[in-house]
Amino acid sequence: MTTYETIIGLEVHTELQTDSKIFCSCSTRFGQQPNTQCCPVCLGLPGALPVLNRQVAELALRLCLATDCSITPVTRFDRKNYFYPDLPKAYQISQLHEPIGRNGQLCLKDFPERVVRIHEIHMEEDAGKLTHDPWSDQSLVDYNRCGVPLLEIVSEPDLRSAEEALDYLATLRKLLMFLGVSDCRMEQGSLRADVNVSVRKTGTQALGTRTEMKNMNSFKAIGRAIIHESQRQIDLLNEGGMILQETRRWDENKEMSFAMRSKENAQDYRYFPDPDLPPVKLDKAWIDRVRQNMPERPEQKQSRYQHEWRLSAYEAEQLTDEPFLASLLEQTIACGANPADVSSWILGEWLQACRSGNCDASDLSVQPESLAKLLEMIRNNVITRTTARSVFTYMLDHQIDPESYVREHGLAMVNDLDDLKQMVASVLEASEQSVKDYLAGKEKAKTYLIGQVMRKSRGKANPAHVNKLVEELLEQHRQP
Amino acid sequence: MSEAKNDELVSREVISRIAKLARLDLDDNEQNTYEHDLETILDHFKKINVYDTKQVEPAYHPHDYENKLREDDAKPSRPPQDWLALAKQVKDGCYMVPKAVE
Amino acid sequence: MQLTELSAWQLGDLIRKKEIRALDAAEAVVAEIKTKNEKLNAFLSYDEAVIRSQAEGVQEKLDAGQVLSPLAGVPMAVKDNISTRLYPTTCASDMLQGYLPPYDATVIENLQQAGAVITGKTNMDEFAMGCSTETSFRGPALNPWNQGHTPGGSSGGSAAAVAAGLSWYALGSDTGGSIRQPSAYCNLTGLKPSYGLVSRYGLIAYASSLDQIGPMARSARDCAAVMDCITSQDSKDSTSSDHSTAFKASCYEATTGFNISLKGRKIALPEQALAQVDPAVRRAVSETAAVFKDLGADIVPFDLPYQDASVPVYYLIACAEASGNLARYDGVQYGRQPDNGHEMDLTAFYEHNRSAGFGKEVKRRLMLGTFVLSSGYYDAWYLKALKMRRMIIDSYNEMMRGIDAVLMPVTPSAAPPLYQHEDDPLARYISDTFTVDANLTGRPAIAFPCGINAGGLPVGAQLTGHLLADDILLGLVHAYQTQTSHHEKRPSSARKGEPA
Repeated sequence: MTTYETIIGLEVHTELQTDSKIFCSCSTRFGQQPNTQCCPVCLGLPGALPVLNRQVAELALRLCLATDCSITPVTRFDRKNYFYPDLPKAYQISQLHEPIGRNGQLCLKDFPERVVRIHEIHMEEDAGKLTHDPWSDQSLVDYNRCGVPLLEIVSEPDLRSAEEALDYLATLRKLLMFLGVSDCRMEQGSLRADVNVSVRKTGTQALGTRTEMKNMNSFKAIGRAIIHESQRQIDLLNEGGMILQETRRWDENKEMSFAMRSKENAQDYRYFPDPDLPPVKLDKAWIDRVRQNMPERPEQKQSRYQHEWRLSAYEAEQLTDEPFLASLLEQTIACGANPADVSSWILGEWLQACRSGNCDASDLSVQPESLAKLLEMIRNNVITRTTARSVFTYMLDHQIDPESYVREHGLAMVNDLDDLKQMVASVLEASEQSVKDYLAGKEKAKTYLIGQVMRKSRGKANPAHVNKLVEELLEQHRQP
Repeated sequence: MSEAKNDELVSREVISRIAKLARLDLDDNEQNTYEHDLETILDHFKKINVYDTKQVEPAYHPHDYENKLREDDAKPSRPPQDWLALAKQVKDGCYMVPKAVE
Repeated sequence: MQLTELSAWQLGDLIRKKEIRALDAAEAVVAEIKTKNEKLNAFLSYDEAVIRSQAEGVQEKLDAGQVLSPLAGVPMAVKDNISTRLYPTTCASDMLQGYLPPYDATVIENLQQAGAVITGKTNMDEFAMGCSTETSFRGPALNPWNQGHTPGGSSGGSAAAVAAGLSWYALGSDTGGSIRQPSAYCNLTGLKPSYGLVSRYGLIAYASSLDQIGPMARSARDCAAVMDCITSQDSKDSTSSDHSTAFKASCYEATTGFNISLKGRKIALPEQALAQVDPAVRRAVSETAAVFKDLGADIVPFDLPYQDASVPVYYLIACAEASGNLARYDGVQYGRQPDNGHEMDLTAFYEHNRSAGFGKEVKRRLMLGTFVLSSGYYDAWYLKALKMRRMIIDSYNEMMRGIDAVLMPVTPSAAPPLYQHEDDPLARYISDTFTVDANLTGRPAIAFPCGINAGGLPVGAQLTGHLLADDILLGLVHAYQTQTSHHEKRPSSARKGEPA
């Protein structure tokens, strides 16, 4: 039987993290009331004119440099003409002839041999949002998203499986977030990917006819769409059919794709240079400045954490999973905390709190200075880790200084041997059975007894002292 | 000029395709008129082909200028009513249009 | 003293000196508009109450001691493709009937800052596509010099209004001659400024790389005063020039302190252009050259570069840009919108709205523009035109070295009768042959009166200058106008109070 190879290229659209839109000063904030972030420019009112947001070029440059693109010395905008209600000017300002960057590359994480070539990176404006109104069977248009800046990152067809495609997306997403280019929230549409899929007989060189898949709104959906589409094409070819070059819409609920009818197929966009926008000259000084201010990339951080702070490879990777964790780590260490302590706390208690609160890591409002103080108190034997956990829980909802809180609530560790001895004695007295079990050789009973002492001290007892005292007093029970 | 026959510059097929692209619904009469007009006009215009432009950079603007940029400052927008009041069909703060099918 | 006989700056002077009140000027012009506009069809909209309240507002500021501009309180008219909150802005198209812009064009803000009283919006060719106002949805404006003739276009309403005494000056827009040609047809001085000198923000685009707003008035001096009011470096227009402040200073100099002797100035006269025009025009332009010579200028020969390519290159580029600029008129947000839109599918909705809203000439140019950009034709037509544009720009740069301005006719003849070339678009396009180069090259060009032909119709001449040297052109024409009286001639119909 013939075997096939799947060939995948990705077109990723990402909304840039700017305050204002690409060609006007309207806000880019997500989730506002319809048409409340609009002006004559983004509504395309007659006579209104675009003026480029400097930060858009700046962020685009950052990504181009980080992906080794060659920078177009004089980059231009073109108009892409088509009629659709989400596009109020009936053209999208984009870049066809002179995109800002070309011929870049991105290395995958889990497929180290695979270097994905980036065909081009270009700047463009986003379109509005359409919703269907079932009552009138009409569409409703909200133009708030019109003019939100986008970068489109077009890869070469260098990927060979859904896994590779997802690796590429995850790597790119992480890069975009660490560079401060985009927040990449797929659920808010700030990262979207169209996937070009074709298949060819294994061992052959010529590319098959490709289809473009749209409307996948999660990584999971992208993976499924690729697998589904490549299988559809293989089945079709095996039946002697032909692949049509077309755009297909993925339906996540039905787990199927459908050929799109209207806007995308057989279009003639009549691109031409936008006469309203002068070219943007990217001179050496500008490029150098962007290069100098380039944020540290995730893999650079990862290696620095291992070498500078002696964190394990696992920890370093986890902490560079998203920019917030990395910045929390760095800031807390900058406040004087011990790197290993911070790492262990973030990956332990912090993430646990997020899981129980069902929120993002960045949603917790604890400041790095407070966290550093808390960790220092553990390190200096001022409080136990148990106490620290409950103080931390309190800190999630309250703006407090952990040191004064510990002082005011008498949470400092109990180190007084006489007090502790009394506490241990009373626990042993009340737990006759456990004492007997221990003396009969059940080591576990000791752990239970220590736990009882800790509980009695409300977590404040110095665990090392408690351990020692419990052993001593148990031994005393051996001699009648 | 793939779609034009012989030395014809625009055919009826081209006219009808162009009208579709421009979202103009032209009746037979209009299509005839514009086919004739475009043919006449382009026939006159084709004389620019006597000039050799192989080595010439296109001019997108009347003069050279570049880097007109604005800073990334978001400003508050005006109330949506300022724009929505211009439209006939509005619902729930949105513009209403015929169903857009994908 | 008849107020409407004065020039704009003379009237401004009287108002500033408090010899007359802004409201008096407003009342005078309201009376004229009411008597004459019905026939001339120069204004598409005006509003007496709005005119009076603006005049009162300006007067209050003047009385409070505010210094506004030399033209404060002078009533003026605005072409209907410049966005105003005060009046509907329709581009004389059915497509934009009833559209009241929710914002003002930058030139309007500048004029209001300068204390202008905006009387109304003037007739034009639909979306500025035409040379006669015949493509206006509201019917053509008439030429005050002879009502059987066109006032020119596309800024024909502005020209008719100023020539007939319905306004002291007006704004027009010029994409391929739309300020200069009607100025020539109506005996006015009209400047197409250097591209970028006047903001386009709020000017409803026809062809963005060619469009420019400019003044139409009774003298170079009035034009200079208007330029002083409207010129600004605009952060809302990426194609706006940084040169505006320097320009404003030299603009005043040019028409007041300009050395009337033109010794050392070089003016080029392309004989080949004169050979192509009607004898009356040839004679008038030659006489104009003689006046410049008498003033001390050197008259030198000149060859217009690629002259037979200008009109094709212009139309290919203008129509291509227009096909993009006019794509937004789809009946969703503003202007003409159907009552039964919900009964149509999306494509039918677009096609219905656009076919019903646009006139014949607009559709013709949209067809041409869409064609030259479409797949398979882009390189042969549009890209070719852009390359030719570069060649024309470079040639002018080369050939105008050492020359201050090129003197040419504006049009091959005086104003033709209305509807002369109604069914011959090519003939109409070709008549733009002397005006389009200034737009293709971004250079400033000024049209000014230089005689009256045997039929009693005005004839204009044109000077094309160097980029951002508009002040030199204003100075040259001002010098000419100190020696001649062509620009002072008024049509008999402009007499006050007489119905047009």
